Amino acid sequence: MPEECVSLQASVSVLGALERVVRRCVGPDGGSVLFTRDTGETLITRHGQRILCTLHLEHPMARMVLDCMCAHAKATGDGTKSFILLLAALLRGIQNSAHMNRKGSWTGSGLQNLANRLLAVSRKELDDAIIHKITPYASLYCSRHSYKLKGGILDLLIGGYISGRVAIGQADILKRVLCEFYHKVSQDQDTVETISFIHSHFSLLHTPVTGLPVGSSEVVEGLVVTHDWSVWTERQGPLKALILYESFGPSSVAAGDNISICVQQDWLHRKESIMQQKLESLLDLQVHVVLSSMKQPESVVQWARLNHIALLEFVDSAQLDFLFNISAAETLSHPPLQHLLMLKYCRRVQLGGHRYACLGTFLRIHTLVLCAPAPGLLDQIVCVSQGVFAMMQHLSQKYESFKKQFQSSIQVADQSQSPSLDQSQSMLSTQDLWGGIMRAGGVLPVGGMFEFLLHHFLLNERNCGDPECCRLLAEALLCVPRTLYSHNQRCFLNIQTCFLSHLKQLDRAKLGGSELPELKFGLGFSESSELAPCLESVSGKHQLVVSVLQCLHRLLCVGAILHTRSPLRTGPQTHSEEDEEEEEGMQENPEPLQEQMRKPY
Amino acid sequence: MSRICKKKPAVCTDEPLSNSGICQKIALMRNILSTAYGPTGRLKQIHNNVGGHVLTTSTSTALLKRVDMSEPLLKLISTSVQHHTARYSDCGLFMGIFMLRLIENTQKYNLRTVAAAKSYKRLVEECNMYLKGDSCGCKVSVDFSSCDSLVALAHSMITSKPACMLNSRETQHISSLIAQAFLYSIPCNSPGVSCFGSTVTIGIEGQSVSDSSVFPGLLVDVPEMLQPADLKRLGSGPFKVVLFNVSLSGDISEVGDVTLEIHTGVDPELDHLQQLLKLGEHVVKDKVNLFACQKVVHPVLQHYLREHGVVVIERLGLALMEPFIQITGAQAVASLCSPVPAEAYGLVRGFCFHSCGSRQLLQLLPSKDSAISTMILCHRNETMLEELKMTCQRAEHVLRLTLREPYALLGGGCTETLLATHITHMNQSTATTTAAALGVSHSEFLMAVEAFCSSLHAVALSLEHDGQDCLIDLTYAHRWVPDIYSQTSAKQTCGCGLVEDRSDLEKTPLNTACHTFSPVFLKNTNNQPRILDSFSAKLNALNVAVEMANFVLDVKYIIKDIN
Repeated sequence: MPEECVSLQASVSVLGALERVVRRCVGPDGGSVLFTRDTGETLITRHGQRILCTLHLEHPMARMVLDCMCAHAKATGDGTKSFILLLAALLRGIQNSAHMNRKGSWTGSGLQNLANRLLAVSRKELDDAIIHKITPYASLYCSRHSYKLKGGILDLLIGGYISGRVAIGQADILKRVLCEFYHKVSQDQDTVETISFIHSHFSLLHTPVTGLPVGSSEVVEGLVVTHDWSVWTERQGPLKALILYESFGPSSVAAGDNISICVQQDWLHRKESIMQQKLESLLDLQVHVVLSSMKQPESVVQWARLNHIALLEFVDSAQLDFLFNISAAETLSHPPLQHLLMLKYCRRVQLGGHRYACLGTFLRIHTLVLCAPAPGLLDQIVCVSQGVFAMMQHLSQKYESFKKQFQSSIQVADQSQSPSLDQSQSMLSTQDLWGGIMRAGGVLPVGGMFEFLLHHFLLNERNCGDPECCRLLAEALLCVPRTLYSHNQRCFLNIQTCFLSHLKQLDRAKLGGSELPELKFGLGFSESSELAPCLESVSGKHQLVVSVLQCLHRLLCVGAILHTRSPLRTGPQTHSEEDEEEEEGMQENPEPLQEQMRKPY
Repeated sequence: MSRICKKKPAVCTDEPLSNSGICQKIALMRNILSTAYGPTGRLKQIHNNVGGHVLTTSTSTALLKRVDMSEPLLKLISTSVQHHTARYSDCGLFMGIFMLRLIENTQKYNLRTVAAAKSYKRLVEECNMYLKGDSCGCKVSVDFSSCDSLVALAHSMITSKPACMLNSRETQHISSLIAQAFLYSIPCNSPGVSCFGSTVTIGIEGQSVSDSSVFPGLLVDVPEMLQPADLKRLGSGPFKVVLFNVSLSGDISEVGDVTLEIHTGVDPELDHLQQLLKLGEHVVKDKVNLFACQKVVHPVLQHYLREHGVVVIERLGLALMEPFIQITGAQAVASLCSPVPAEAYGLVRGFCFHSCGSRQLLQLLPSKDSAISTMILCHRNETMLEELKMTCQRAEHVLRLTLREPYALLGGGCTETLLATHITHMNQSTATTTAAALGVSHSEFLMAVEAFCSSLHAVALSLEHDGQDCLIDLTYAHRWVPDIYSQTSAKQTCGCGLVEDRSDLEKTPLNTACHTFSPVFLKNTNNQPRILDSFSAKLNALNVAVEMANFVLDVKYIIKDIN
């Protein structure tokens, strides 16, 4: 079946094209991509997912890869570029192996078989290597280097994430601001809940400002609303605030409706007196601050001015909901959609030439003010900052589930009276989330360490069930650090040799039971080893390899692409191309993505 | 019927900065900006090919706002300059020229992007440190006890905008007006939290520039049918003021576009008018002398009020509401039916008539100390007036920036030459260690320093458009232009006017190789710098320019969505 071989070839060329786009942006030495639209929008990004999404990929294979990648990114918030690199390298490896085996090409069933075997590797050998080899190594590394990491593992984690995503000048500034923001919001309570809280409410907890250098970014106490007070009165202390979602004016604003208004005698007076009644009932509530999501009529503004009540209009209703949810708000029964809550203070803040309102809550909410010279850059910075918290969320959740698993295994182990678990028990008893992650081997330095380690362990696995697949995966893994150091190939080789010799020393020391050698494998990007290395999460990397292998499985299992004219019914099985009832013939040789493709409908 | 359009694949450009077309466009933009720079900058005329408005300008804001960039990279640069000028009102051209030169120089030296970005960031930090430090030679502190430096700042702002078309006497007049307006806008003697006043600008076309002036208080167009005799009858102030911000036209338009169903015997318009007249009665009873409204006042109500000796000002407009509230202390009233609360009334001290050209203006004198003033700007035609108005507003903003950071930088290109000399000198000896700390090679770092400093020099060179040589002296590192036309025997001074020429002052053309030296800090001079630039604006421009240059250099791929 010659068509099936074409399919592998097609996947290789499609992935090759994707890889070429992504390659330029990998690592801190990479560049960024400028994306423009005819509407004048510009976007600057190094984010793999955003780059590929903006390309409007036509080829069905490419779009399938994109889908897999997005699913992966949603889970971990990290590793989209490595995803493409690794997948491309794996496909190339498979293609080359066919040539090496003198088979000429893979048969369709052979490919499917291989795909299944690779998936099996991801379940067994990969897990083994990570749990039994890499995690202890990471834990050992971190305990050895804890003196270097005392600046906080968090800084290093954020640094590792950011350095590949913004230009070099902005990385340290952004890292500093994000760390400050996290510490201020979390109040030293590092829990998964705090991180998820920041992550899910990030859009409300930051304020973008253009026209200033990135260095002017800061953390402001309170919740910043990007409008100025319509009526401002300075007041001290806790303030009673009223949340309004409706305008006080005449409510006949439903556009397009055929409303008729009946004008009666004295209508002017009645209108005013109704308004007066409404306002008087507000006064009875003794509020000091009124927050409204709508524009209020002038008479309300005047009323607020006369009664020394601060009035803030046009507040984003999502922000009001947020305020309502985080504070112990009381909902008024009589007029619907009105809430009462207590604010700690109200202020005005000056941000980049605008005057904004700032609301202090009792929960110590802080707002991250992000500055950039132009809107496109601002977008990048906002996106990266949000990504940081997605990554942290994934890391902390993994750790929590790991901890739970461990504790249950300890309970089992307790019955068999195993003494060796004492140490690990003390490790888990600590409340310190980040320290715990570090001691549990959840993080490794960036710069290809994970890939080197996994490569090494996969190749040297003794009781490996499937050496061929392990070798394929191991070889492909090296492409990530190779791209990272693509500007300086010698640097890559140096690091690899140096690292391997260290691993050997370590193994020898373990066998001989002698003193462990100094682990000075400090991969900095700038070859100057005195800088503390940045860190990345092992679980994220693990997930990456698994996702890539799953995606590969899906790719290799596709036998043919059918182009139909009728829209695809999106049932539970969206990607079942084979199930289409009507055959329209085989897709001819798929070309690289920049050329026109027919789109399957 | 909805149609699903197939999306076209995006157009990609790889390595945009090595594309000659894009490089040409960058050079063109740099050329446009640098020829417009400085007091002798060439004016740019912008018009589209189907006719319409023609704009003559040399300011970055006006220029960039109206010129659409086809190239996304240039669009990005243009937006960043516009965002800067929106905040700081000055140094837009400086930022543009410096940024584009930096990009071009990096390309010329073929520097690695990452190495360039790291080095530039380091250099701009050094610049910040130098400029903010005490030993900075290009900074003078603004002395608020005399208005000399304020006038000098305003003066340099105006001379650098040649499209205002002012002669030297007019320039002097306008700059002192700006300083005056700025001083009016600072509140004094007010206890507690005080807030800045503002200056209302009125432009009058067809008058000579020397007729421009500044008045304390607010000037509004004289209401129809108000005679000087009416004011005399009012006697002496203070006068009671009421201010409305709702329409008093008697229309019932505010309910929106709905069908009205009217009961027999009800006339809503009449009702409304009666209510208005009731309001008028109430106001007259409260002995109000000035009745002002943001919107339209019904003619019958106006007539009624005038009969009772009340001055009516209608259609004040939203822009004048805030100044009006500030000078009178009145609160805007929004309700027609309820009586005006006592605390909503305000006061003015008096009225005064002014006439300027075709316009008759009524001056409202503030009752208490308020920081509102009105500037009347006159110019010969509309285009020049527009430019002058914009320049004056920006100059006042720049003066206001000095309150936060009471410094000014030497103008006339001297800051750039000094800074470049300082940076070269600083990094002469420490290049090896700095390069190692940044993780770049020694030669890369030296090239980056070279690129950075020659970009600064390029800005100083852009000040000269008549083909004359620019020189730099080797003692103070100020910028000089040999004055070959000079007939007078007066001592020649450097670009900013701080250093006087001496026979032993060694000079060399800018951007030529010379030995590095540390600029001598000039002390005990009787000279005052003639030309000053805003400190805050230039500092921000420098930082943003370097940041943007790094961004542009960093772009490796352009994806253009053509859907």
